[in-house]
Amino acid sequence: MNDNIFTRLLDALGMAALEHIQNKSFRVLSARSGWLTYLFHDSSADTVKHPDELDYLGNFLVDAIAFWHDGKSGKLDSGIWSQVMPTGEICWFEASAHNIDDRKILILKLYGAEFTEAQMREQAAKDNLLAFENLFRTEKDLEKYSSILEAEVNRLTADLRERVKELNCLYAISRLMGDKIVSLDKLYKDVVNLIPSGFQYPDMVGARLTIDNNIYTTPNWRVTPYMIADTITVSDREIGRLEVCYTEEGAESAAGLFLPEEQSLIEAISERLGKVVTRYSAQQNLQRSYEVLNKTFEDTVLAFGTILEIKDRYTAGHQIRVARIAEAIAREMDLTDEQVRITRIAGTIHDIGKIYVPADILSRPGRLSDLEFEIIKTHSQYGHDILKTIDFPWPIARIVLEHHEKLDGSGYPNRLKGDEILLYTRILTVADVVEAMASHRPYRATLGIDQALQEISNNRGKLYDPDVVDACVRLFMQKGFELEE
Amino acid sequence: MIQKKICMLGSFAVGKTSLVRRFVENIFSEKYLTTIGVKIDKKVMELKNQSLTLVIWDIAGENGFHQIHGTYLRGMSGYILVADKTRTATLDNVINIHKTVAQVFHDVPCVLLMNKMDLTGQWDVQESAIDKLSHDGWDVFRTSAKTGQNVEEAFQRLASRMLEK
Repeated sequence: MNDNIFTRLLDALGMAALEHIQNKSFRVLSARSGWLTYLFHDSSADTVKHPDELDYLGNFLVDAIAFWHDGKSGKLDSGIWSQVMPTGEICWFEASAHNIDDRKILILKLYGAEFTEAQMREQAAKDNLLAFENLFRTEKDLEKYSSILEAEVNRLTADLRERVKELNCLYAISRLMGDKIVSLDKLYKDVVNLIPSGFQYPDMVGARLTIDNNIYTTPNWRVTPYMIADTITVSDREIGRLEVCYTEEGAESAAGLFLPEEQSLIEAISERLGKVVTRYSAQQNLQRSYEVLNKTFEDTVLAFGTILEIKDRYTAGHQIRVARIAEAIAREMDLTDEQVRITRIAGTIHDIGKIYVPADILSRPGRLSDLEFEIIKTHSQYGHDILKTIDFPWPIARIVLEHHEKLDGSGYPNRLKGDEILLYTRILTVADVVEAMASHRPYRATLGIDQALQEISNNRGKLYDPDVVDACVRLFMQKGFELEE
Repeated sequence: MIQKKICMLGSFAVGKTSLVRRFVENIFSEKYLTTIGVKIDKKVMELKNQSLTLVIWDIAGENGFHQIHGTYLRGMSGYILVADKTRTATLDNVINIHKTVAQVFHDVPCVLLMNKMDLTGQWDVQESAIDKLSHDGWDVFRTSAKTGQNVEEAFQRLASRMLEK
């Protein structure tokens, strides 16, 4: 390696290489770093000499000279030492002696900031050890500290148990309030009965809640000298009061008869009661709004359906009656309220597409020609096209489209079969046939309910859903259902 | 100028470095720094009309003499044993160190420093035990690197005894 690079490299590593000449005099092989002059006398341009002091390096050089003299291989390490420099700075050094090609080489290493940081880490570890050793110097100390620690652990455990009780109580009450509130009255009763469980001495605790002009109490409630209370407010308006009593004087804590956390518990419950009243009130308002909206919606659908009657007086009331029959069948089949509602709404407007059929075809007495019948058949598609633009949460448009489909695929417009047809539609189809046959038509007098029931029974499982037919027959034959005029 | 080497010996954290710092620079710091390897310091003092340079070897504290590098002690003219008044085990340790060192370095003077006297609420070593050591011929000083109590006196005593040799 180029000597120049070699010396610069050693200097960059904080190292110096020296060759021993004699009597602790050295030739400097590397760069002449400033710190070298602290360890040696600066004898000349190329050589340095140790001042032969009783310092660490001097001590090491005694061993190093013997090592060089014996021509030993390997190296002799000095171990690390630190030296206070004339500047007051403390520097760490390490030295090693080597015999290389009969030359007596001394390598010196100056440690930098990384070494100091590593020492600081070791320092921290030793400090911890010392702290531990200081804490438990003797067995007697250990016993003393053990008992102190045990007492502290017991105290904290007892505190923790109390906090757990309070939290459990609050959690149970919060759960009650989180559920859908069916009745505030029941909620109030449950909350009052849960409150004692959150206190230090539950058997000695009574609670009273005064709200909405009602009073709810635990069985053991009574006015005593040992009470805490908090008000229940909604929008800064006081709507009630929650009180807790100790029925007899219990163990008094440093903070008084009731723990500060117990006072906080009462405040937390009161705050939650205020919120639950607010929520319940909002829930009630929402329910009322929903009911009003529903009624408005159905009224609108009904009004929509009656538009058709302006064109076709013979079908006046047809949709309403179909809707009634379909609703009754759906109930007879134990469908949900929501499904019954869908069936009824679809029935109310199922012929809305007839608005596109010329009035004289709809109202004209006598049989229709094939062409006229084809025109009539378009009404289910028109009905679908009208209703699909309305954002119903239910498949009303599809039901209207399918309401002339038959179980065996002989219906129109898409010749759907079996389960391809919605259940709502299969109900509506039966209701439509029964109503149509039992009512007066422009081209014929009423055929009567018996013939209508005969028709659906004859085609049970062929054109009409058997369950729907059975339900419909039961309604008229066994349950006294009647068609209104 | 006369130059003498003295070694500080004792368990870790008994206050050897703080005692040296108090003696050399008259400074005490609460910050505790473990001595790595050996720390070399110098102090020139006037004694009996002579200038004496003390080269003080502050040797990293360990809990047994066998862990101290043997060559560290070479050329020493005296040594200071340091124990911590708040830790009885450190006194037991320096007594053991002394027994071992004395076998190799006959007649090399030493003093025993019972350090951290300022931590009065934490004393662990019985006063009667210290008195007994004095009675048995030990040169004992009750010192505090923090307050400076008896630090100068202890070094002076050792230096005097070294010069008498």
